Order: sequence, then C-alpha cells, then structure tokens
Amino acid sequence: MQDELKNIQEQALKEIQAAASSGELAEIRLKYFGKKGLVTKYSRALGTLSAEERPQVGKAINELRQALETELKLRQAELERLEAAARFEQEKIDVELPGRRPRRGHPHPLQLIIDEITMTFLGMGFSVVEGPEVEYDYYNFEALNIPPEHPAREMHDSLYITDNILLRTHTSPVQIRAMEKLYPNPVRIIVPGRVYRRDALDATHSPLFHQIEGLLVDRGITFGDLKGVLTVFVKKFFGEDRQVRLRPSFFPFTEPSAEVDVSCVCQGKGCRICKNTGWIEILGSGSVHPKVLAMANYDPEVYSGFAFGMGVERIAMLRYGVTDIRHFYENDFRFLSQFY
Amino acid sequence: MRVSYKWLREYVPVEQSPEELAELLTMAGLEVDSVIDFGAAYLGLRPGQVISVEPHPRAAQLLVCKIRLSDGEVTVVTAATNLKAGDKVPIALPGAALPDGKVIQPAEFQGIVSQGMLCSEEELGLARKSGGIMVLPSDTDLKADLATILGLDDHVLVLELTPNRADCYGMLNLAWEVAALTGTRVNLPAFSVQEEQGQSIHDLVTVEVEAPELAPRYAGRILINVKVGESPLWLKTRLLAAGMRPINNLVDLTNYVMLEFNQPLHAFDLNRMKDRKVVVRSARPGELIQTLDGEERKLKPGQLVIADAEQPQCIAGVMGAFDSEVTAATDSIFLESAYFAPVSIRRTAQELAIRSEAAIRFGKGLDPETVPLALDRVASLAHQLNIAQVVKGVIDCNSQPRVVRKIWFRPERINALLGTRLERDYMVDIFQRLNFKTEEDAATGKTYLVPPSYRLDIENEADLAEEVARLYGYNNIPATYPAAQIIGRLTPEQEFSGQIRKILLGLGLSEIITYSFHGEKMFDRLNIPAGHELRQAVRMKIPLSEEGSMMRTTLLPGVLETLSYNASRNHHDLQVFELAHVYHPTDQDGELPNEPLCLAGGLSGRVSEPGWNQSEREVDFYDGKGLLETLLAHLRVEGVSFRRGEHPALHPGRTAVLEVAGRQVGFVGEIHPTVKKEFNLTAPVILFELNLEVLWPAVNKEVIQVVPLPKFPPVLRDLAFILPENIKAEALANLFTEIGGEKLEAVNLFDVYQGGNIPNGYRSLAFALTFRLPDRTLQDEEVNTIMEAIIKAAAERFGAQLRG
Repeated sequence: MQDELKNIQEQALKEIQAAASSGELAEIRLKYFGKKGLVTKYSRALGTLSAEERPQVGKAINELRQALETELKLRQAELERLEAAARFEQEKIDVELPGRRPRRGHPHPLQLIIDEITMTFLGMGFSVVEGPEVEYDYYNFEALNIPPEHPAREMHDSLYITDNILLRTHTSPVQIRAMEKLYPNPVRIIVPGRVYRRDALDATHSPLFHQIEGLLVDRGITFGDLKGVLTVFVKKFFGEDRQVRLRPSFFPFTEPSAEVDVSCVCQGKGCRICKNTGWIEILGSGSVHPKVLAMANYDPEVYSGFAFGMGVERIAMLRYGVTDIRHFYENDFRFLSQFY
Repeated sequence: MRVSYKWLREYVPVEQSPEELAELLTMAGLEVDSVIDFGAAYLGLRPGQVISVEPHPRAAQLLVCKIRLSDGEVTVVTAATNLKAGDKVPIALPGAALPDGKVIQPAEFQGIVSQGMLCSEEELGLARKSGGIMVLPSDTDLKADLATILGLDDHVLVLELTPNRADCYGMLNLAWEVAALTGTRVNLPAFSVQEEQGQSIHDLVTVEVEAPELAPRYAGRILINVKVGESPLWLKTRLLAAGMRPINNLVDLTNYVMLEFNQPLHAFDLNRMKDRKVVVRSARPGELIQTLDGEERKLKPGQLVIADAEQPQCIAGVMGAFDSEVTAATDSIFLESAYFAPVSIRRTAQELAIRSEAAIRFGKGLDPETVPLALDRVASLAHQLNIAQVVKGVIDCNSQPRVVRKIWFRPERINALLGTRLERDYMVDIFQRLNFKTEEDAATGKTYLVPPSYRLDIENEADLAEEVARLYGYNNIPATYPAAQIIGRLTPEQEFSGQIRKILLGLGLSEIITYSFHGEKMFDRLNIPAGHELRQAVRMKIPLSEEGSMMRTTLLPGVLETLSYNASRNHHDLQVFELAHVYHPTDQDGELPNEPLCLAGGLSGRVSEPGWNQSEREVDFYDGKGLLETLLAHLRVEGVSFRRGEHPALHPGRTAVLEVAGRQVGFVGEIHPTVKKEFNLTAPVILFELNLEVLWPAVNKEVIQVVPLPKFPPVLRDLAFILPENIKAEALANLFTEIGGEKLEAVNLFDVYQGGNIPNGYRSLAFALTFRLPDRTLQDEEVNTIMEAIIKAAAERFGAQLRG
C-alpha cells in the first residue's frame, strides 16, 4: 500500500508539472482530491485497515496530500504568472503614440510682462492702481504741468472725445488721481493700462498701446531713491548682470528728468537691438515736478517723490524678440501659442 | 539740429573728439543721435592742375584736358570752357562719389576715354548753379585732399533736442553748454556795427506794431547798396554742414546768424514795401499773400503778418512774400529781427501747413534779448563781407518789459532733492560755468541765481537741481532705497481678475488683447439693430480712421475679429477670452463714460485638441454654459441663474442670459448665422460676455468654512420621467428638494432624451438622487416613501410618467 501511495505521488507530481493551464491543474486536483479522487479513495479506505496499520498509512496519506497540495500551489502560482504575462503581452499598446492632451490656454505676452513688472513692484511696496482710459484734459495734461499750447503737447497727438475729454495719451493722469485720493498719505503706486495716440499702425507704432506708470511720494524722497528703486527693478527684470544708466531728459511733469537705459545683452559689443550703442532705452523717469505736487495738494517744501513710465509693448518686443508690434493685437494663434 | 564740430570749435576750444563730445552731450541731456563724418562725402575727390586744354578732334563742343595729379597725369574730357593751363581744379577720379551719390566711372567720349570728371561748385554741392569748373586757389597743394582744401573736413553731430532745450538750436548757446561740460571757456564772437553817416533809419522807413501781443519785440535795420551774389566759401561750408543749402550771400548770412544766435531774421526788399511802411498786424479776413514757395495763401485774423501800406509782405515768423523777396536787383533791405508769440506762430504754421526753419524756431520759444544782438551781427558781417552798407540807427519796438528770473539758491535743498552732499562752492561753480549770475540780497541774506536769458527752461528750484545733477553727472549720484512702511498689494477686484485669467487658461482658453475701438459698420456686422443700447458709444471728435471712430460697448468685436483672423489662416479650433473695459456714455454732458471691466470669450470648432485618438465633437451651447458654470463655481459666485434670453449677435433659440439678484450679468449662446457668415466663420461658434462689475457683488468673499465629511453611507436612487418638453429640469429638481428635504443631499441630471419611443412634445429626464443624513444611517424604507411621494407629485404637477 505504501508503494501504491508512492506510485500515486510520482504519477501526480509528473502530471502537475505537465499541467499547461489553471484549468488542467484544476482537473488534476479533482482527479486526486475530488470526491472520487485517488487520494480520497485511500483516505476512505483507512477505516478498513487494522489498528496497527492505520496510523502508518494515515501518516503516509497525509504526507502524500501535503506534498501534492504544495506542488499544486506552486504550479498554480507559476501558471498564473505565465498567464498574466501572456495577457499583458496581448494587451500591449504603442506607448510612443501621442497622448490625449487636455487643452490649456496660452497667456498673452503683454499680460505676462504686465504681471511680471507688477509683481516686482508689489515686492517693493507698490500697490496697483488703475484709472479711466477716457480722461479729462485736466488730468491728462494740465495737472501734469502741460498747459494748453505747451510745446510738449506736440508729442501727444491726441484722440479727443469732446473739447475737454480725450483718450488718455499716457498712464500719468492716474498719478494725479491717486495723489488726490491718498493725500496726505504717502503714495507708492504702479499703474498699468491702455493708452492712445493718433498714430498710424505700422511695425513700431500703434494707436493703442500699454504703459506702466509708477509714482512714489513721501517726505524726504530723493533722486537717489529713484535710482535705487529703478536699479532694483531693472536687475530683477532684465538680469543681475545688467547695468543701469541714467541720462538727463525732459518730461513736463518731472524735474529733474531722466531716461533710464539698460546695458544691452551684447555687452557693449554693439548689435542691432542697441543700434551699436551698448545701451537700450527702457524707461522715462524723474523727480515729481513741484508744480505737479502742488496741484495735488502735496506741499513741495515738505514732500517729494519720483515717477517713471515704460511702454509694455517695447519691453515685450525686447524680451521676446518680437519685431512687429502688430502681432500683439492680431492674436494669431501661431503667435500666442508660443507663450506659456 | 546739425552741429558742425569745426564751427563749434570756433566758440569753444574743445579737445574731445567728435565722438567723445557726442557722448558728453548725450549724458548731459542733449542727446546726440549720430555723428556724421562730413568730409567722407568728398573722399576720392582730389585737386589737380590743368597742363593743357585742347579741342576734341571729333566733337566740337568738347575739350580734352591733361591734368597733373600729385602722383601722375590723367586725361579728362569736359564741356566746360572756363579753364586754361595752370588752373587748379577739383577732379573726381573713377570710384569717387559726388555728394549727390553719383559714382564716377571712366567714360568714352567720341573715341577718347575720360579718366575722371572735373567738378563745378554745383556738382560739389557748394552752389545752386555754377557757370563752369570750380577753380581752386593757385597755392593749392596737389597732395592735400579736397575736403580739407574746401574746409569740408568736418564732423556733424546730429542732436535730438528735447523741447526744454530749444535754446541749443543756437550755436552760441550750445557753446556755453559745451564749455560747461568740458571745463573750457566760451569765446563769443566780437563784433561792432559800422554805420554810414547821413540818413538815419527813421528817414527811410516807418515801423508800426499794431499787434504787440503777437509781436512783443520787433526790431529792424536798413542795409543799402546791397550787392547780392555768391557767399564766400567758408560761409557756404558752414551752412552745408548745418544742413542748409547756400542760396545767395544775403540769405546765407541771415541763415548763418540764425544758426549762431537761434534768432531767425527776415530781409525785405525795402523798395517793394509800399510807402516804405512796415506794419506788424493781424491778417484781415480773407487777405491773400503769395509766399516765397509760389503758393497763394488765404489768411485770417489772428495770423500775424508784416505788411506794407497795403498788403502783407510776410507771414510773420513763418514765410516771406514772393513780392518783397530779395533778388539780384535789390538795392536796399529792411532787415527784421523779432520776438513773436510762440503759440501764435505755431498755430499759424499749422493752419497754413508750412514747416519753415524760422517757424519751427519761433514756435519753440526764443529769447527776446537776442533780437537786437542778431540784428547787429548781420549788419556787422554784411559790412565786413562787403555785401552792404549799414544805415545809421536801429528800430526796436519792445513792448515787453525785461523780466529777470531770480531763483532762491538753497544748496541744502538741492542736496535734499538729489540725495547728494555737494559743497555750495561746487554748485556755484556749476552755475557760473552755465552762464548763471548770482545775486545777494543784503537785507535778507538770501542768495539768488539768475539764469541767462536764453535759458527759458529754468524757472524754479527743481530746475536748479537738475542743472547740478546734470553737471555733476546723473550716474555719480548714489543710488539709495527709500524705506517703506507700506505693503504692496492687489485689491480684491484685481485679484479676482487674476483668478479669472488663471482659471480660463487652465480650462484651455487663450488670452487675447484687441483694439478698444471700432467703426460704425461694426454694429451692422454684429447684427445690432438701429437704436439698440449697444450703439450708444463714446465717439471720437476726429476719428482715427473708418475702423477707429468710437470706443467699444461690447468685447464681441475683438473676439469675433480674432476668430475670423485665425479662421482665414485655417485655424478653426480656437478658444479665447479677453478681459478688458467697455465704454458706455452717461446721460450727463461733460461726464466721463462708465468703463466697466468685462470678460468675453469665444469657443469654436472641435472641443478637443485634434489628434488620432481624440473626439471629433464640435462645440455647442452646453460647452459654453458649462465653462461659465465651472468658472463661476471656482470664483465662488453664488446665486447665478441662466434664463432663455436674446442677443442680436446670437442664435435666438440658443441663447441664455445670466442673472444675479435680478440683474443681468451677461450672456452665453451660439453665434447668429448672419453674424457667422459676416465674419467668414464656418466652424460652430459659442460666444459669451460677462460684466464683472455686476458680477462682483455675487462673489462670496467670506473665508471658506469646511463642512464636516459625512459619517454615514448614502442611499442612491435613479429616477427617469417622461414629461412634456416645456417642463424645466430645474422645476423637477426643485420638487425633489421640496419633498426630500434635509434627507436629499444631491440631484444630478444625467440624461436627457427625445425621439425614439418618446411621444412627440415629450422628453425623458433622468436624475441620480443621493439621500443621506448627517447623524444616522437612512433606511431603505424611508427613502422608498420619499421616492413614492416624488413620483406622485411629479405626475400630478407636471404630468410626468415614470419611465420603465
């Protein structure tokens, strides 16, 4: 009987090894452990054995059962692994094909510039203030020390709505509005916005463009402070390695006035962008003219300040290498989609 | 303004090179745009000496000259007849360029090759017309280069002057500036007037200033025995370098003094002045004048003229009359030097569309003190150059008392404004170099600074500070950083705009920026009927163009133009938005318009990025509405409802208006087919626009308070009804809430179906209902009861049948 059990074991192990699928393995299990299975048969026959034989045979049957169970389990695991591998092979896809892309919009380059400049000045304690685009002549010119018939008005070929209302030609009127509102508190503001001039549209001119204006008014503000603040801005915005240069200039609402130049990326070697001068003009600025302070009630003997302004399009053109201002308003998707 | 470097050096001993001087001037606020090597135009032109002049064997009107050069001989064919052996002449050899740009090549004339060209003064740009080849002085060195011989070896600095420094249009004023910058002294030209004995100016002319407000200072001299002719070479080269063409000695002289003193002068042929009268008056209505350029011009009151006893002989400060122009026949001259009101000159020049050198200068404002000086300078040079004799006496009608500007000098204030610590003496030195005078007031102990009369820009302390800063050097002022007690921040409204941008970019829309104006036609293109409120626009007095005559009242034009622009470039799948102001006039005259911030957008073409595995579905109304629903949810806008509505640019059956607290916030809808066609669009288009100012109050601004997560499981039920199609889904949802009460947690419409076995006029709506209580597990039976009640009520109220 013991030999019979041994034969069964050998036979069963062979069959288990040969099983090619979980189905076959299940059949083998049934063949040995099913109700009419071979091992089951021996277990049932135990009762017919003598008391001496019974423990020995019982033990042998148990060992056989355990050996087969272990083998079945191992084979089962092995087969599952193989089957899974086969299934994965079958489910294989071409992962090198393009993905299904959710759409994301592209920001407008002018807004990118406005946001970045704004963030830089927010960090320096400036708040953002906006003002009307359709503006009184008074705020656009007169309160900025540009009286009627002043030669500086030649610079502004303006779009009038009525005799004393026009499309603002610069963001500077917001200087006056902000000072009127904030007096006698210190003023530290930045003003982004649209401005209008009677210019024909070409590669470098547009009847509409954007400016960012800044104004700081407080007690004891100096021209040196203007240099300090604008130097911080230029270095943060254009790069720490850039140099800043101030040149005397003229604006009716600042005195002294200065153009601010940033050193060119060509590092003075000369290139098309800086017209071989090594410097690029980026900002107009100056100490707030005492008449402008007085017009907004700030006593020039007590308060002083500085203002600056820059053209957003010009800065965007420099930064992104845009050579035609019209791209900004055409909104050609092939242009817009280059910005992130 | 073109500045001759050589000329400038006559007034101030500059040691810097033209380029170094340009840099100095630029950094002092007198921007030099470029430096031109003036002599370079004459490069390749050389002096030669005529060896022989022979007639051309085969051409009667031509001559063949042998010319000796410093390094050889050449043969030249010429038509000029003024040459003889021994004459020294300018010659352009092959490869040389003439000032007009013409490049000389060897040329054959009837079998003889001309190896260069002999030049006339005209060809050298030195005269308007010349009779023959220019003959150079006999002591001319043949080795020298021609530009040097002619005095044209000069550099020209092209200045871009700011309006406040128009004084530097005068060489002398510029010389003061250069002297101050280079630490040198100005050599003012010394001159005196040699007057003739005998008749006085008062015997020869009567000057009447009838409009002193327009001509505050009017002065004149008389020149007699005038010999109009060519100017000397030095005068011509000065004018050429300054960019002016030599005309005749008298005109050239007045131009020269104008450039020197920044004071335009005008010469009248005295004999052409009827009754020898000079009347400075406002033009009479419709008065005519034929100006120097040959044009007949009609004048009007307010325009200042210089007239004789009968008619205008000059538009003051703008242009003279043809009639009294100085000609070769002129014998006596009334020479005018004046200060005219700048505004009047500017306006007149503009009205008549004349841009003369004089008008530009008068218009920018001149120094009245220069008026007699310039007059004397011309008189002195005219005598010296033997052009004319000077009649005794000057007429100077000066109705404007001399105003001396005095500014209190407070060095400590200047330091405080600049952030510098400069010594008082250092500042005083700067002002002296700039030709300022100091004045002490013994009574108060105050010191005053008196700017030179030509520095019209110096008015107050800030101007003084600028002078100190300029001369000290802007870049030497230490940069400091002002202490801040303020925190920079965005207002909640500004943050709101930023958030809208971020959300929409994330949802796949790109930002656009478009023009804020359009033309009248745009309303028609948008299908906006006459009288519609959107046509109430802010209009420009003088339109920019046909497409730019009014400010937009809606952002749709920009969105549609963008879609159209891209569609015409075959890009039909586009999702864009613009965040910008629109402009609505108010009822009140003289009030500024309202400029609410609006958001508009357009979705067109396919919903997904095109690709091999992407849905090809095209956008419809619900994409637009859903986009807004998501946007508004993320902006925490509450209480918005979408109602069937209308907009002229949208499909009447596929448009919803958004309302908040009974106010219309905006709309969303499919484009009207007419508008779609008008903008050449083919793919489906959904448009929306929101007024953010109306929306803003509906934003929940409270800090978010978290609702505890549910502890008990939900009971989920689906429910589908067949009901008349006019019953709104919202009505059913309201019914569910009414019956389900606190137990009903959420309702989601998951299917809408029409057609098939659903009867005509009916549709099927399917909802998923979530029931839950916060404090205990709901029992099935409780939910069953609610469901039965809902079904019953839906049947009674809406005629809804439960769908199998």
